[in-house]
Amino acid sequence: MNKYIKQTALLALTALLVTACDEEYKMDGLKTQSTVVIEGLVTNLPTRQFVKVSRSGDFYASGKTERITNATVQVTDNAGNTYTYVHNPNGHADSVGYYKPAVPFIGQVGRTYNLTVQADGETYTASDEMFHINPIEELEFRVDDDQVDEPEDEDFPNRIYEVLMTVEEPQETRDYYLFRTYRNGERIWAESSEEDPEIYVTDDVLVGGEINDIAIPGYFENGEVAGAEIYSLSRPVFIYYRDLSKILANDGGMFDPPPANPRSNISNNAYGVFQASAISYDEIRIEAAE
Amino acid sequence: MIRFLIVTMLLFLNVAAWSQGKATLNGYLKDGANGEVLIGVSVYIPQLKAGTTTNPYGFYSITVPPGTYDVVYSFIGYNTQTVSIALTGDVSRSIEMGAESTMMQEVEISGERVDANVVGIQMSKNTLNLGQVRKLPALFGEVDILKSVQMLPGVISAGEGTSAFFVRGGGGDQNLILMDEAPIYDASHLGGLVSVFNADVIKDSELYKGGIPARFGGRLSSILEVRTIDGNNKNFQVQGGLGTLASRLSVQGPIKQDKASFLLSGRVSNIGAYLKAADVDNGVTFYDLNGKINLKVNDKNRFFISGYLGRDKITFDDGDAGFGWGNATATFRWNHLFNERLFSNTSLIASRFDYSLEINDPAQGFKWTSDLTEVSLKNDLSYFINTNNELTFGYHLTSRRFQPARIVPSSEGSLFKRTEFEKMYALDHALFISNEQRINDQISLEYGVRLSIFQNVGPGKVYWYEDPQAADNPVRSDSSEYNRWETIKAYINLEPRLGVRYALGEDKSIKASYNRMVQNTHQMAAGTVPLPFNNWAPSGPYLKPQVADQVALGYFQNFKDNMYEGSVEVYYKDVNNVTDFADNAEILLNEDLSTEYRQGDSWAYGAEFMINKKKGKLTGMATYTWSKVMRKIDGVNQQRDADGNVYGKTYAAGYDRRNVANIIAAYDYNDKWTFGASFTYSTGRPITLPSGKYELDGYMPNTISERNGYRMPDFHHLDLSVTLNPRKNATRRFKGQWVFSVYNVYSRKNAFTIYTRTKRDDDNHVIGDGTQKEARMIYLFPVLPSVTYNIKF
Repeated sequence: MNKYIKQTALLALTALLVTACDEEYKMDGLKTQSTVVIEGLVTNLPTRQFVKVSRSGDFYASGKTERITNATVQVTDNAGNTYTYVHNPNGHADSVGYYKPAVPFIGQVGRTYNLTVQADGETYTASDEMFHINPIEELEFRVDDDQVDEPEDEDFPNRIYEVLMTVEEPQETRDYYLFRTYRNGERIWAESSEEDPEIYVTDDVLVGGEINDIAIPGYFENGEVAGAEIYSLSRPVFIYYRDLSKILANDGGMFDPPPANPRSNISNNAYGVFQASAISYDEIRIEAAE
Repeated sequence: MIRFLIVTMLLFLNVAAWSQGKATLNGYLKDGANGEVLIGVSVYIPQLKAGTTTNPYGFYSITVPPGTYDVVYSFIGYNTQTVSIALTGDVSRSIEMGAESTMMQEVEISGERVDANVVGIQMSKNTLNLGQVRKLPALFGEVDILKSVQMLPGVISAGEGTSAFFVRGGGGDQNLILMDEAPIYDASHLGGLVSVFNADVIKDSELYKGGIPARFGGRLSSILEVRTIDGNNKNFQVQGGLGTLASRLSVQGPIKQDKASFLLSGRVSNIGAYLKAADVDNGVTFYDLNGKINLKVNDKNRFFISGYLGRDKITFDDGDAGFGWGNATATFRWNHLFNERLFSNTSLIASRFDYSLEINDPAQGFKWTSDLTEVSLKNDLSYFINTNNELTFGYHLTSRRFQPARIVPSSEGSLFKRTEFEKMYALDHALFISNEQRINDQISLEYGVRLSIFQNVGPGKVYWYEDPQAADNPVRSDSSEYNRWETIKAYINLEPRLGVRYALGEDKSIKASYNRMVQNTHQMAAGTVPLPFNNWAPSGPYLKPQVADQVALGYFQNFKDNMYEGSVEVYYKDVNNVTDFADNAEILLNEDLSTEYRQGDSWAYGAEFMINKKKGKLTGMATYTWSKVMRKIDGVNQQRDADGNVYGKTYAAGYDRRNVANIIAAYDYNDKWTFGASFTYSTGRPITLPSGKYELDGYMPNTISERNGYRMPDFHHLDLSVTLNPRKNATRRFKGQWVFSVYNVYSRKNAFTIYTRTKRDDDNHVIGDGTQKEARMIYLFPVLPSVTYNIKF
């Protein structure tokens, strides 16, 4: 919906105007400052716990941002448990900057988790509560006629199936959800390869307190396995993701509010988020009747 | 309030008693060719060195000692008339004035007395010269008074392709735009490519930027008053045009010769046809309808009914999604003459603005509508006491209803449920009194006061929060229910207004003014440019009235028998409770939206230089404005100090452009050819750009260090136009006219906005591993030629 609203303004002025163009613009005089970035996740599934510590970098730099490998990372919960994390215990090249619990553990719904990270001589703390999530009741697929007419991603005209999800939504609580979807186990970042990665986050007010046959992000082709993951979020983490999605989609302040850094639950001016989520997962193979 | 009224009445009666033994001359001034009343005509009695001007209804009244006088009626573009009148008693004399030029070009019925710039008390006011506006190049050839307003000194535009304008550091919502006295809440079509004002029906337009008279209120920064023509009461007339963007047709004529006339005018966009031809599945239409009936019952009573209806409709993907927005206004006016010197205008005005957003989808379809409706009653009285005093006073009452959102699912299966946000109601009373007083040949004053009494009233439910501005989690703690008309919150403000003119001679003067303005209707615009979808909200428990104090000083001089007008003005404006959204505010479909409001301070100052050539074959205007506007609001542009405390840092407003220079010129080469040129330059507007980036999950968000901390490149373009009036026009009733124009002659790529994304190639494929980002600049118009054909018969 946001997307449509933005389009009106930009449509009238750009999409519609055959005269409008865009071109690369070189920003100069940017005041880059390197800041610690912390991303932490505690879940109710094994092996999914991690904390990543890195630094923000130059806007025009290429390659991964700088990782911090000598931080001290610890998670505690309100049941009196302490989990010490170690840097890249398996020594994977692509896991530099990732910290894993020295002793594997599984998060529990209802507990509050506290994160402490010491890096560069500073201490950063955060806490988050893990909320309940209901299992995904059903996934179904069907042909989306719009995709047949005009595929979202021109490079993949056979992706004409949408997948609908049904989950029981508790009515007595205000709940917040994050959705992630997978194609044959690969994360889907956006509905089209022509778009930058998007965030799919909602609260139950917007969906009218029901998740019945909601189309999950992404379109699929026959034979593919569609995976859907739904995360429970606390309100502060929901707000973080909502803010993050705003800054990712900002138009520079002409019609949107001027971009601002997301409200993070991490102290001491670090960027990032510490999230405790329960996860439900289900998948379905698209097998169209010929 | 009662006391205020009594004082008013006493003053009124006393003054009436003082002026016994005098004679009053009054009447209306009209264009002899079409019966349009003329506004601002100078009525001058040389023997007494006394004079007046006609009011917005074309009426004048002057009270002098009995005698026989030569009365001089003069007005730009018309032959001056001198009439000898024996004033032994009260005399009513209406005058029809003949136009100076007998050329085929339409006669201008707008204007003001030739030396108003110097002799009037009013400063910081610009009158649009519509005749000149029509000769100037226009974007897509569509003559647009708002684009001309954007060229005036002290006025800043957000960029090309927008109708928004910013006056002396004021926000886009701080302008009161009136069409025949009815407020227009969104004056844009197509997001601002053109405005709702169809130039064919505009008679007169004035922009007040400072020293705003007490009869106006409700917005902080400016009043743009637009009046439509009354309709020719002598001859039937048809006028129309075919342009790149839209087609126009208007019909006017007498209902009863010299007594009653009508006007009916329509404009409709042509773009839909191009899109269809180009096989684009998006649809775009807009239209405007103006109608007016003007009835002169007798010399003491005149009635006007005017209405406006305009709409935009944009659809995507063959109607899968769509938007619409529009204004509807109706004005009923009654001009009544109680006696020779007491003129009354009573208006009943209704205005409605609404927008809708529709998505047709079996699972996620809904229709969202929102509207704002207001009805107001205004009674303005002018009492022409004597040649030295003109008293105006009146009462305005406005009732507003705000409907922020109503959501209806488009089908049974839609995941959206029927929702209606709490409606809000407000009552606005204003009492004002103002006197324009001539002290002596040098000094004239205008002083007045406006009392504004605002009430946010029921019915309604107001939610209370533990901490309404909590950083991330305002929790509803309680709510209160209010009955119809029950006051939820009231604000009372006294707004003093003062203007002084000191004449330094016949052709130069110094003027100073102070005004306080109060605004109780706020547009919650998120971006720099307001959109039709930015809701309006009344003052209430969570929004205090915005209050502006402005002082201005100016030097005015005319040269060469008023051929050139020059002025320099400086101003300082201080605004309290300027309204913005908190950083990261959630604006769409938020029932706790009031927790996202933040109010703070804004201050602006600047200097404006203008030279205007109003007569001769070559007319034009050159202006230069230097200005600065800053804001400081808690919760906006949040930074942490050394101790880790969050504070809102001062930032430049999104429309802060330091240097603005404009030059416009029109040259009447001969009866056949007219040339126009327009050049504009301004400092790039501030924008918030990233200071870096970081990785989170698979995303690469930007880091932001400061709001509006970066400036876009300078903005400038040159436009040219040629108007061709074929010679055969002179000999026939049917008159055709061609207008050729070229916008942005040297094809400057003016940045409209800058955004960032993952670096991609021309085919939109990610370059490299997707870690690289780029900034992109959108520009709207390269060199753009257009042709318009106008007819009149």
